[in-house]
Amino acid sequence: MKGWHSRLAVLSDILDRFAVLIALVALLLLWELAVDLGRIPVFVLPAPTDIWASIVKNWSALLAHSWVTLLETLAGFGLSVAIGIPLAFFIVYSRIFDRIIYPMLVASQAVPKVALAPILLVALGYGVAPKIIVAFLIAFFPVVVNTVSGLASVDRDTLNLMHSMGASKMDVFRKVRFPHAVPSMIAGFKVAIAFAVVGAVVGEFVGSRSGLGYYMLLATGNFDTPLVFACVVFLTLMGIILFYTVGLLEVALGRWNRTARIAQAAEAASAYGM
Amino acid sequence: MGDKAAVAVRNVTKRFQSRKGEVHAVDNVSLTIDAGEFVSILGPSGCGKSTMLNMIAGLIPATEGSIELSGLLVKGPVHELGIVFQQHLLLPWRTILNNVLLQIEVRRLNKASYTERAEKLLRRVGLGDFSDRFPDELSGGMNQRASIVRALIHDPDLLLMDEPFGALDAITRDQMGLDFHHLSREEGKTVVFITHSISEAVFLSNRVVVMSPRPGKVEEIIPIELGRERHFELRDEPQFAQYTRHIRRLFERMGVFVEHRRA
Repeated sequence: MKGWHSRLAVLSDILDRFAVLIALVALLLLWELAVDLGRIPVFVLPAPTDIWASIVKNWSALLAHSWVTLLETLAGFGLSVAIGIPLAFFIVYSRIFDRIIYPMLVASQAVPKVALAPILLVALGYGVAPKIIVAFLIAFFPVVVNTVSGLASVDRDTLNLMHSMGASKMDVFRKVRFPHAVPSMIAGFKVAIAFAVVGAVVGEFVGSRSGLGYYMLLATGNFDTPLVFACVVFLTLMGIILFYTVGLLEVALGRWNRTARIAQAAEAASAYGM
Repeated sequence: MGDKAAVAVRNVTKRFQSRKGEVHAVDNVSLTIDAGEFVSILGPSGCGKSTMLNMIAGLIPATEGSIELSGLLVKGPVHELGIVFQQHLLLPWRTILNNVLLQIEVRRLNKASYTERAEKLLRRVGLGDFSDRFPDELSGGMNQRASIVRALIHDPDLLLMDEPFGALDAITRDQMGLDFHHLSREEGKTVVFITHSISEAVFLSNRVVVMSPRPGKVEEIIPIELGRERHFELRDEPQFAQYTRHIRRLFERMGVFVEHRRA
């Protein structure tokens, strides 16, 4: 016989599992009510239903602009991985890179890369190039830093053990350093992809003819606040989807205790690749 | 002192630079170990015993003096040996068996022909059913057994053990010590065993090298005549207590132990 105790347990389990969703719905309801009861003008703060209506109305334009921003983001992220990882290898393996390039790189983080966007615009025009470069500049650092720390954080005794086996530098890299670095690299990718979205949008703000950043500026100019919010919703969704897609890489390969599998896959990949 | 000594340490001194200036870690140590011996190097923390082991392995150079292994001068990392560290250092993304076979892969030996030996040794240390598990699925003691198998798999004559059971609980530690003693005797290995446990050193060794606090010097080398076969009961024997008392008094004399005398 199932008592109310177990039914209560089931209920609390459901609450537990969907807590975030429930809170979100509650928040949206509260928002809707506040706008309604407070008679807030729609150009100051649109209600969720206004935003939804705008999304429906401008669906195809939103999708088209999202597509542009997505491509810029992915290109910037791809570039940051393609350049960041080899650079990290050089930093770990070359004394000159470690002593000169790495400190410069760290110092360069004090430069607000967003402020470079207008300069890039002047140099590269209204096309996608300046957006990709701003996205790249922002996303690049976490890729490099996480890869460097992953490769370098192998402990002394493990290296000693490898040396006593007669391991070459390549053995140490393939069998220890690289697999060891993979989880930290993926963590860096997750930060980088979120940063890349920001970079692309900022690039669009400064000057462009397409993309969500451009569309937002356009909507602001027309006092179409629901559309501005619709753009924010699309950007947020894009960020979340990209973040979790990179996260999937981690889940697919297993997590650190199951990271077993992450690094195993990495090791296999490096065996094929190099 | 024959020229065939498994390990010959001659007047070895080690000094190195640290942020606080020069550290004199090891001072003029000489020591000869014959093939098949089980020798413990015993001393308090920071007496340079791990430094000694690293120099024997060729992982760090001696500042003065020389070390020969079976007549060959040590100039760089020595490959003809097996090392076990305090931490098991198994790679978390490899199974126990593949961790053992890492030794074989790196040495470019034939993996297939060593797999059988690996499995036999794993069974020998009680890990027969765990060869395809990952290190995080096993206890600290089990992982350390696997790392001992990794050190033995390529059948080296010399085993260097750097406080191998130091990270284990006392009960596991005693059992592992005994098991390892028997295993190393069976396999006919020469063992250099670093420890800071007096009873562990006496229980396992043919000879105990007692080192003084930094700079580490050889205070006394004590042959342990308790027979070849070691059993737990041995620890209750009066001779065993005599050895441990003798070493404890050495440590008291060096100021490592301070007795609280009754007024």
